[in-house]
Amino acid sequence: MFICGSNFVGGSNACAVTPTDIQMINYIELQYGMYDDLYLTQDVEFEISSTIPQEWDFNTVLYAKFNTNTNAGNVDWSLNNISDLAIKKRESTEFEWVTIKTKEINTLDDLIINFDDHMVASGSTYEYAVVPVLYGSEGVYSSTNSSVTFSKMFIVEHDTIYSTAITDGYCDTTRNIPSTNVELLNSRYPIFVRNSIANYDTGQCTGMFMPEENNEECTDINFNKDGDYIRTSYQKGFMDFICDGVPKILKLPDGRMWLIQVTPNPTDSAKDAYNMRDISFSWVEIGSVHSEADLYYLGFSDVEEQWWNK
Amino acid sequence: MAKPIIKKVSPFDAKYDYTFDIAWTGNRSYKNRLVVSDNETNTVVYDVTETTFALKHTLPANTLINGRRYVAQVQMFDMNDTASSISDKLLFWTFATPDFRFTNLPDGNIIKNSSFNAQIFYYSSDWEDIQGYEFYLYDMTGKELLKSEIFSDPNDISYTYKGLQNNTHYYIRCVGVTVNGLQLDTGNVEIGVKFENPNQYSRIYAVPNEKNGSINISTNINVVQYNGSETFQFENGMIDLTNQMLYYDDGFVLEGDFTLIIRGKNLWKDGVIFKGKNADESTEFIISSKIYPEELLRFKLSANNGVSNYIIYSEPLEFHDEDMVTIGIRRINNIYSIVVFTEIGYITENNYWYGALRPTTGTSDFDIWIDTENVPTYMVNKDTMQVYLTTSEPTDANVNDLWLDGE
Repeated sequence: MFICGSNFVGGSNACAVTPTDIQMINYIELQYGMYDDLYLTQDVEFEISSTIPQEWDFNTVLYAKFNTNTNAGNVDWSLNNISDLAIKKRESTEFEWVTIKTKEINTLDDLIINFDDHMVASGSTYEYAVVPVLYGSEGVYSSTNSSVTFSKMFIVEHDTIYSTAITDGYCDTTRNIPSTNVELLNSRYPIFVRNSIANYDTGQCTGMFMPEENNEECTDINFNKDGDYIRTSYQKGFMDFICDGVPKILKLPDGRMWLIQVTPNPTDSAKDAYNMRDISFSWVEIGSVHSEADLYYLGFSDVEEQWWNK
Repeated sequence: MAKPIIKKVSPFDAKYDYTFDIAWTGNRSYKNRLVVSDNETNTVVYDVTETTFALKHTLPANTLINGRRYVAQVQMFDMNDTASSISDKLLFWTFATPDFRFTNLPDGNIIKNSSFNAQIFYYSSDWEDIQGYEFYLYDMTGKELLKSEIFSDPNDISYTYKGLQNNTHYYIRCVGVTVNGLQLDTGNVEIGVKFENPNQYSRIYAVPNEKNGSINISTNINVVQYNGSETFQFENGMIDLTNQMLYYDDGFVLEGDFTLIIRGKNLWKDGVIFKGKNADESTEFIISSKIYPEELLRFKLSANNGVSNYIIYSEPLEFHDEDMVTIGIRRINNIYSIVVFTEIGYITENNYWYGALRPTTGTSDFDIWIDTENVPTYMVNKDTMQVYLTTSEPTDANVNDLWLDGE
């Protein structure tokens, strides 16, 4: 169209409709056909074709394949056919799973599980699985692998963690197997008698425990007289922690890990200077980190016996 | 006559032009003269008078040499060519611009985690040390989101950006200053964040935390289910909604750009097949179909826009109920597009396999295996076989044809 010598709405986009602003879409309907797939994603980069991406990714919002149900989430089950969710773990070299967390599922919010697993040794690879459970009957395992490497000695009691990178690095241990050698009058050699199945470690660890800043380095104030009160308060707190009689997890950078109880008597002694102090403590192993029963009865796990993988 | 003053001169790179600013309170200046001498040899290396009203004098690039100290003086001339006193000497340095840049950006500047440890490469050919530096984070509009404290460790010029959001672009920047006052700036560098679990998308994530010696476990389960009471029929991996309606009203929220793909059959009709909206709002977008008198069908997308309906149509299509149709809707910046693919002659059965063992290789979608004892497994191509639906056994059937006896 020409008006007064100028073209008017002659371009292809000259009359483009006003864009809409429908946001926060949380309801959709589908009807009047036989449907093979319903796929919704926030990815707008791929080329649309008659072939739909087969797997969920970070952009997928919902995907109903309509094979035998109407489920459109990233799992092929709904709240109607799940009563609990179990988180299981096993070392990559093991076959048996250990249940480390369970949660009763009633609402969609119950599906959100987030926690820290402290029962991991440095350098070991673990496989974690989330398992839907319907009144004791397990569904498909969805799993992933992970490992962590750290360079400190950790002592953990539930949500309280003390650590230090300043250790003598030894943490020597002794394996205890109580037994008796019975010497007889008529035998050159004794009779070895072991009337117990006791078989546990004891050990001694030493470390310099200091307050740290966010960058995880010891502050200079630890070594100044001005910091004496802060440092001694922290070290007294650590002493109170290891002497509280509660079982703990002891983990070392070389991959060793035990469930321990600190035994008498921890010491706090100076090395080279009054404010460079080593805390040494002896301990005894009181359970197995791989035993669901030990973890439960020692208070490290709240997974009850019905969930144990016998 | 008054004496001009040269304003403070920060160290600069002699490879580039540098403009000296002059403070002058005497008669209006008509010309100004800049004299630059080498501080060590007292040799005059630059002595030029410029005719300009501006209280500036630009020293051309490459007049001086980097890594040396110089002395500058200026003198002003009025319209009558009366010269002022020459200014006091001002000492300054020239240094080559150090190499100061981010050194560990991944391919395409795509960050795959919520945190990124940005490292800076710093090299000064004049052996200048870095005195201090700080890091910035901006959003795509340039708004400052984060400013770090000022660091001074010259051996580890790095900073960990934390809390980066998935599918978001940012600008990162580092500014610093050398011991001699030379300003350093990486400029704004764009990064994109797109999370990636090392084990790919998963229903459970296990992220190591070296700081507290643990592994953080988090589930990533999306349950989107039908919350109504109707039961539906399923056939050949498809849901029959010919006379029913399926809705989803929980477990998802869609914002911004998206792609919607609907794939189905029995769509040769007039009617609304899809709606999407916010349950609390009246605005919605609808996909419907209409058959025109010339026996062509168009799919139509309509959406309220507060003024009228925003409407777009697909290309005219011709297909049958048994053909498979794929409808693709894409929304970018609230502008929609629609594309439709049709698979004419689509069938839900493919080749037949007979044998005692289920075939494990060479199969295609919708192949059928018929468990047959004492027979090695083999395939019959669908195009070479005949299927009989008769009450009596066919007399002209060939080997591998299929007779489905029924009343």
